[in-house]
Amino acid sequence: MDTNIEIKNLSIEYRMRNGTVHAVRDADFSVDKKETLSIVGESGCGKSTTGHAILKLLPSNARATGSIIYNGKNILTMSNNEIRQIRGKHISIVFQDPMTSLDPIMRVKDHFFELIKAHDSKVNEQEMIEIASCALEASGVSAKRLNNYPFEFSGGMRQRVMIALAIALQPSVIVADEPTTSLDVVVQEQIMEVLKNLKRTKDMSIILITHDLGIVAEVADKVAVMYAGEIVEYADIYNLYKNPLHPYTQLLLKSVPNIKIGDMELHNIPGSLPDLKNIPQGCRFRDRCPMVKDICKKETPPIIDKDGRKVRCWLYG
Amino acid sequence: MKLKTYILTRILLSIPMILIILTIVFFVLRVLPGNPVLAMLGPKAPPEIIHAMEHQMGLDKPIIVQYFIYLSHIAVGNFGTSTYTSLPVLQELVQKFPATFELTFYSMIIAVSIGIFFGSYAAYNFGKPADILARVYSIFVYSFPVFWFGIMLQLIFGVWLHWLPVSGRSSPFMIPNHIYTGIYSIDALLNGQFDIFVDAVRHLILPSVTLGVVISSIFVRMVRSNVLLALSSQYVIAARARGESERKILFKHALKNAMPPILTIMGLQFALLLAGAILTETTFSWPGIGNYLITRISYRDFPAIQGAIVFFAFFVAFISILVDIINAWIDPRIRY
Amino acid sequence: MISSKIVKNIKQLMGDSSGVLFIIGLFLLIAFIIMAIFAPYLAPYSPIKPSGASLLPPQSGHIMGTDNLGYDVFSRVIFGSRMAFSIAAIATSIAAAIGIPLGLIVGYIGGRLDSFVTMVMDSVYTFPGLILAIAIAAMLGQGMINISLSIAVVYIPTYYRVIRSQVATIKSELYVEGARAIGAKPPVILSKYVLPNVLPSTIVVLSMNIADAIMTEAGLSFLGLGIAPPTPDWGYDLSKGQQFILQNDWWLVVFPGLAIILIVLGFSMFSEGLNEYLNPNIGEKR
Repeated sequence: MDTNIEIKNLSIEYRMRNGTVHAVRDADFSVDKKETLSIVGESGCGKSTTGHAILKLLPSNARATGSIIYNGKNILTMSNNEIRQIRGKHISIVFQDPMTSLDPIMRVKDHFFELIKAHDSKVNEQEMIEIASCALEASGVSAKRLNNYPFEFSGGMRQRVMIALAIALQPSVIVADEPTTSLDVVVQEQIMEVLKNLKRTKDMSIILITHDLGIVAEVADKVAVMYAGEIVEYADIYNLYKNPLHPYTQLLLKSVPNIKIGDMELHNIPGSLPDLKNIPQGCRFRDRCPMVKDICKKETPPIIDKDGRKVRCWLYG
Repeated sequence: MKLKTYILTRILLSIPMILIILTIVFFVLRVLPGNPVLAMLGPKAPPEIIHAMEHQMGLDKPIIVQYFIYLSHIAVGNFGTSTYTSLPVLQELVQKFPATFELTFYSMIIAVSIGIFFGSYAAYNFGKPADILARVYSIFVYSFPVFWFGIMLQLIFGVWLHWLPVSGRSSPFMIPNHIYTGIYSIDALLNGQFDIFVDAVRHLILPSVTLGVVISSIFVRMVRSNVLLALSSQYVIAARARGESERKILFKHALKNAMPPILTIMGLQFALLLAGAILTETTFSWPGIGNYLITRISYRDFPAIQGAIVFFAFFVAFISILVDIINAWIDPRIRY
Repeated sequence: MISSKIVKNIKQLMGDSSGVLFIIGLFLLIAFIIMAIFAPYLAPYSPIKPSGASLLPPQSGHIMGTDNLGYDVFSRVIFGSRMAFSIAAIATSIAAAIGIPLGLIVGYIGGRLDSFVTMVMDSVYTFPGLILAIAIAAMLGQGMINISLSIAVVYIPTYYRVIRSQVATIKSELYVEGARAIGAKPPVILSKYVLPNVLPSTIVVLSMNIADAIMTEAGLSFLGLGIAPPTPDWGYDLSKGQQFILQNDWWLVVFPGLAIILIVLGFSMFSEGLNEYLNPNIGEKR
């Protein structure tokens, strides 16, 4: 299979008034065509930051190093105009909070028109309405609602509109940043159905960012587990669930009574994330790790290849 | 709710507000110490004349009766007769109003343009020199007394450079042949009298720049903070993620969403603009209602004073209704 | 050491822009307060007696020139600060003394009284303050107390609105409900729980308000409704000076105007800096 997007040595820092936050360190992963990669981790572990970096949407106080290669070009070094042409057309994103992601004073159709015109100014209104209707229907929204304002939709319906906007121009990569977190359980299920259908019918890669291992099991092909800004384990879904290597992954999966877990269960692992402003030497998980060794406190573990899988842990080094 | 229904409701809701202001004006002008008749005729006037005058003005009736007479007269547009010119006050006000309207209108355009462009430019360049300049500008210009700034402009552009006239609405004999609106700059154009148009605009520049720049200090600040708020919202990031250009994000999303609060504040500041207009009109001898009010105060012409203040009250109420309607038109959520 | 503490605090203040504003504003205010208190010692001449030929341009002996009556402009500018401070202080005290208790009590009682008083206050608030002040001043006539009263009436709603809206939120807080539940009487609740909470924003409004009051006073005197001449007053001096600008006697208007600008600037910078410390959330409310 062909690689669609490849992330190498990605590190991201936020410069704050009271210090630098090392949000992501040395992340490596790639997504093939038609593949779904899931980035899993607790809130604050850098997974959303990684997702936003793929579209160069980081705030101005963030600094990203490394490379994000799309179509042979590094997104991180692109000019504003270059990345503008990629956003929405080649790579699109669905945000966590559908309630605030649509402009409250624009009709739904105007959101589509804006998207289409940003990439091709010659399209006429009839064609634009066709594209918009098509995308809306594919996401489970009636095309009749094109003239409605966002406040006339429920949260779940707004998220469907957001998905429709993300797929309208048939991009090759969609970043879904916790698309169901702020929705209630029934609606979550419906939104995941929409995403799964996309996978079947459209020819695109999905990068699904979530803390919900249940969702991961449903749709992902590959999983990158993140902890405190680092990818600690990177494997295909089957192997990860059958034989988790990293102690963090093991604890994550153990804390799942059945396959459905919500945000709360992740905190069953005792301890909390280290302060990302001054990270101590050694493994970032060592204070919460049940299998901690001496070396974990002294040296940062490298990424270790184990049976074709990648894990960042001294147990295997 | 349809826009029409909204407008109607809004007008009805402003009636109590106008009533309260009218009551306060009545209280101030009739109940406060300072007998208007005595003030007009002087303390040495014979008592018979004072009584006759009081009777003529209805001041010998009980205060509550006077109050209802006052309200009923205003309701039918009877603002009384000037004791100085013996003309109906309303007629004088209507004649003076176009000058005030012209001045406030052009000042508002200047203030709004500076406010929107400078304010959103500053917000867009948050923390950069342009932003700091905007903050310094708004805090400095806010502390300019309108009349002082006006006098400075008169001094620089009128006295030193001789570029522009320092007072009045027009040069002698430079009045449009036919008056349609009373707004000279428009009437001259409608008549096709280009020289008179230029003359009117030359007279307008200093007063409207004076008032416009001083008011713009508040607008720059308001626009900046509201656009800043809108720029940090999720739908702006979402629009950026769809490949929208930064310029369009600023104008189509941030500025448009920031508009309702900005307009509301601008509507509130209209009161300040009118207050500034009185000072500007006095500074530039601009023959509007503000100038009329101040002149008539010195002549102790009480019906005229009362009429001018009531007129300002209606003007303020009208503008606040107008602002709410524009807001409802921009933001569909308000209507529902 | 206290001095090192002060240095550290100043450094911290200079760290962001609002701190710089605060310090500059504070220095301006201190300068004007000194000017007002020590006016007789600072001014070279009497402000109400001719001290030289009329309409002298700035020169040694008369650094800001003289006016048409031969009064020294510099001395009048210095003495003018007394009038500005007195009227602003009296006006804001009256406005605060009426607006704050009214806001506290009405906001606490709530109900129909609240809606009625709020509507009245909002109506006054939306009406152009200067115009109302002009009307009252025109009725009451010239004089310090009369002018202060006219200005005070205009600013009562400013205090009322800020206090009432805060009281309305605070009174439903748990600790206030708790106090009520154990039988605390309204005056006790108001003075012990509510007032300390609304105090920070009140202080900010007060200092912003002084700037506005000075501006309004200058406006009224400019229109001839202020203090009876020859008492030195910046607004009045400006309007008199305007009569002479056509003959280019700029010093009559430039200096009194700069005095108004600097004192207003002082108060608004001071209050803006103060605002960001005491309550970062009321932000743009004026």
